Amino acid sequence: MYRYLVFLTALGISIAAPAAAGDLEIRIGGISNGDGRVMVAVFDAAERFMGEETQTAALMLPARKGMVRAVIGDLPAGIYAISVYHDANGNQELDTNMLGMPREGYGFSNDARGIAGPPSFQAAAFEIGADPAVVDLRLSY
Amino acid sequence: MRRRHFIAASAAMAVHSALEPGLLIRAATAASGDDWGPAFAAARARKPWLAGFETPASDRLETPRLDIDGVWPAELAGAFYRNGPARHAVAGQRYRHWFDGDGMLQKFTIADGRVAHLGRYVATAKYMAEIAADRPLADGFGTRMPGVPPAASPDAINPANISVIAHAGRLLALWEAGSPHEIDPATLDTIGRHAWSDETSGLPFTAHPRIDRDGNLWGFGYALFRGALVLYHIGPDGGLRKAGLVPVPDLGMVHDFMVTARHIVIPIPPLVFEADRLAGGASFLDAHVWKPDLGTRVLLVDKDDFSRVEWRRLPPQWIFHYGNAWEEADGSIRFDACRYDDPGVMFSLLRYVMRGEVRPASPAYAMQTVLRAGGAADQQVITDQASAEFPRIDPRRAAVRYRQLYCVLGLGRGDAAHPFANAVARHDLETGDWDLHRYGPDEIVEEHVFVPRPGSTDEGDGWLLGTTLDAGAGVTRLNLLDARRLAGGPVARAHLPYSLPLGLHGNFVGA
Ligand SMILES: [Fe+2]
Repeated sequence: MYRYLVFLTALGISIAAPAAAGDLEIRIGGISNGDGRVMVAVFDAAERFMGEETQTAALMLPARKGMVRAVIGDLPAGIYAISVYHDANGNQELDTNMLGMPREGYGFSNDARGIAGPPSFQAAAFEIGADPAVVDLRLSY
Repeated sequence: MRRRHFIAASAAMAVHSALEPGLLIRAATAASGDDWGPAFAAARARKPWLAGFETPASDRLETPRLDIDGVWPAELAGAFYRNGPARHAVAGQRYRHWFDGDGMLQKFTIADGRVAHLGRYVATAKYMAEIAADRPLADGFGTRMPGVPPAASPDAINPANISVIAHAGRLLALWEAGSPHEIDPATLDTIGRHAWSDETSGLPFTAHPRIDRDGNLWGFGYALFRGALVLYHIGPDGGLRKAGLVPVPDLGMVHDFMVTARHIVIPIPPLVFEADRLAGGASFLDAHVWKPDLGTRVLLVDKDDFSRVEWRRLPPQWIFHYGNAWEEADGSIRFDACRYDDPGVMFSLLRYVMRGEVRPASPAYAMQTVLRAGGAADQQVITDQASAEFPRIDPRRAAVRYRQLYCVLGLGRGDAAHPFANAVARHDLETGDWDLHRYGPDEIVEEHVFVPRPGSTDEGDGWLLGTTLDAGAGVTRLNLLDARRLAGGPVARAHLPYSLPLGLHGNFVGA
């Protein structure tokens, strides 16, 4: 398993040159403000989706109003899904109300949404093959 | 990154999907061949009263000085705010239920014997996003919109379209199942979503909170995916005193509730939410199933301790609205309601009117109910001669023994020009007497609220204030009646030069 933990200091600058096989470009839109960080997790299998420390890659990106993007290189070909949240207050948690509803922005690849919880891995899944992959998603608040 | 936390949060996301559609399966008729707009337009040409279901020509309606009849008393000074669905189509896609459209606030400013009007939409996230995109981005209460992705949260589809209430200096536009929106009382500018605390931020909140005589505001919300009711106690200063959760199996739509001196009283009609239906493409409304075998469960909660609950039972019935409730010395609880045998009116009349059709539905009887201390319950019909709705009381009798019940009535259905209320009435709960005024044949009567006469203390000393849509003249009128002599008709009227879409609830805020 590949594992990354990357902190990007330059806004919107990719961490690897795009357009190589196995590269994954992630573009996260709909960010409401530049406070805190955007937390990204990439999963490579349904049984690991949304698990505890089961992500293939994790990124902390400085938040910026509008969009941030990043590129992760050298992912093996396969099926992946991404979850993201906007840790606006920098406490490294997705803050919630008393029913556990998010009070910070969040989103998934394919802009997938669950009806009674997070979406399924399948609903958020995309493929990385021979060509570089680009995933666009928008945060919801 | 704390994955576990994220997982827990996501798993609970559904709670707030009270109105979240979820899957991308759509009603087959929604995307193409939609004839609701043309059907309405054709019917509108024949039935002038359908003006009440039209989108206003402008996003801002303003008349600084209305034509008036009679004398608006100088001592009556303040603003009458109303709310209701107004934007009945988005980019030509007409909603299929009266309760869907974006809320527009109507403000009637009354001062020095004059009346001014201002109407503006609540600038919800949904409204602003749809204006910007010029296409539907959210489903409605009774409508699945084509090509609309599942909602991220209740507030993503919150149209803030049911009521408006002032509390602790804040004016709040209310929906059924999302955040209140704070409104500038002077300009009707939308200040933003209001949360009483981080813990309650974004939770469902009712259109029918209750303000007691000490200025406390009590509220509830139904969290269908969690199968729980949220309870709120907001102090007179506007600060959250406490919030709680009560699990309720087979939970469904709950529109209104009551408080007494000691209890929160929440009857739960057996209109049960089934998430699978939502996933299968049904609208939020159609994801509810009438299950009369469940009866109507009545939840009693101790106002001082939300963990102390009791259950009572009533026969199956659908109720939108209660007037008031109070508690006798022996613990018996008495309340009134406008009671339907079933929720058919919401699935038929209030849906198909959006295509200009009148479908029959069971009427609402004004009822009195006693929940006896020992657990038994009696219900008695006050009137079955007319369909009754929008019950209101003198707010000085909130949650205590009261005598006067005000409501609107649909009299003489057979010869009525339209299927809605045509009269306003007062019922004396002790003598059983009725005092009522029937408006003109073309007038649809909207909710009338009680306004106490400044300086008075006696129950019933004041006015009723309410709007009517005069379909014959194509205008909306504001009416003031002496609350002790409704039969005399309005003592003063103010006439808008245009009609407003029919609204739901409002409140008067004294200057
Ligand atoms: Fe209501």
